[in-house]
Amino acid sequence: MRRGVLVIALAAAPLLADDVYLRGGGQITGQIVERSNDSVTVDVGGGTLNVQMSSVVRIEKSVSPLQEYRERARKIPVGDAEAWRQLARWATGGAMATMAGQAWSKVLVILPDDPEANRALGRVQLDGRWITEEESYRSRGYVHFEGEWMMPGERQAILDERRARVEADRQASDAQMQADEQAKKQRDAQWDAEHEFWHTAPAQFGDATYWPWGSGPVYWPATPVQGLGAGAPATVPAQVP
Amino acid sequence: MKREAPTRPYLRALPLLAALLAACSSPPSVDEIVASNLAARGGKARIQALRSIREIGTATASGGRISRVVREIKRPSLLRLEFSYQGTKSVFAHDGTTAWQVAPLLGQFEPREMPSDAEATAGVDQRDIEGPLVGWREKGHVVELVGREKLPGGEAFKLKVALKRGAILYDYVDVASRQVVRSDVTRTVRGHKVQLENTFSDFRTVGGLVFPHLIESHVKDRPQLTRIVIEKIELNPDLDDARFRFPR
Repeated sequence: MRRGVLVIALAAAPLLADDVYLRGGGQITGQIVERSNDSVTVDVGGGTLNVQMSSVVRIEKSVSPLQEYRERARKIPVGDAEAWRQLARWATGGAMATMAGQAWSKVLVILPDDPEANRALGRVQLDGRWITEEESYRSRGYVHFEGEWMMPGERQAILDERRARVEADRQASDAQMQADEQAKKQRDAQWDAEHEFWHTAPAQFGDATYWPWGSGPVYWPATPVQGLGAGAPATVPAQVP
Repeated sequence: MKREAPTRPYLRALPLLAALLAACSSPPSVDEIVASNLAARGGKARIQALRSIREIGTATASGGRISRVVREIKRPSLLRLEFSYQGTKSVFAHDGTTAWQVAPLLGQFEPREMPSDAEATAGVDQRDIEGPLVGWREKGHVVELVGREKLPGGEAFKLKVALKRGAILYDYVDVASRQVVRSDVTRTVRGHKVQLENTFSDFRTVGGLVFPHLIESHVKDRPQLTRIVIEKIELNPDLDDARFRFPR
């Protein structure tokens, strides 16, 4: 008896939805499936969205298009294409994409060549046969590449461009390595020269005034060098005129 | 002495006729094309009298995905675009200085200012309620006639419209109807340059102004199409400035 009352109460209850209003005019309409002090989770038909309560301005009850859809769908007799069509049109008008897609698919199961349902699902007619959008693209010579449909020539151009970029990068890298090698050679040569000078000059000139870190420096470690590898010094001496 | 034959009156008119023919065969000037376009849209005065507009329609993307779109524009340079899809409503707006959006479908539940490149992508140039061709010189745009092309619906004058903000549009003005039937623009989407082709059709008069009611957009050389069907246009609705302002 209690169960009977509950069923009647549910049947008589209005089909309510939860409208979650966000700051700035954003809105989520669906069924709240979970709610806490911090967040609220809403089933929007195609999935759920979890929103922090700090982003929520208010929550209101309204007539639920999602529940209404489910209720109407539940009542459609098996094989009634027209009822599914009416429901699909209604869902389309409400921008309920997933629901509309479901309803149009039901029409297609009953009437596979129905033009309205085929078009609504993005299908196109080719030689009197309805095919998917993807099949139509393939039949027109398009290829699917990284989420986009394009002509093979364009795909090849993208691949060629990438290959050229990789090659250019490799060449730049080689050039950089050569430059680094050259710079290292110069530094080594410099060091050798300084080392030699350090060891020989005092003997020649009698003092150490040309020692880089001493008084009257000839070199100053102030020029950052780009592209040096790990372990290499961040700066090299710059020549002071 | 040989007498000179008298010149017949119609022969005297020949140079004038030739000049007229030459004038007829030469392409019209940018100003003539723009003026004829504005006339075809309902007239410059009527366009400039428009204070605000609300357009309501349905956008259909590849695979039959549908959404409701509401676009509101108000002088001066206020724009709000609402996009409802699968139980969510997203908002993109510009209050004249700041572009912002709230996009629950993208997991963005708080209004957020948009970076300048995203701002450009989102079509901030739409803020000009009357379109760039009205008073283009005063607005700092540059318009040039760059050719005449055959489009599927007929021949069109191709105008290069360099907007003051930097974007370059190519507007195709149909020779017969003088409506802009196509507009190409290059936008930056996620860091990549994308050339968009927008076609306009199903022109209908609302309150003395002519608007396209079908707008189809696709990326150049790509088959996927986004179609916007305008179902309702309201002229001069009362729109509170607060609708456009970034919520603080």
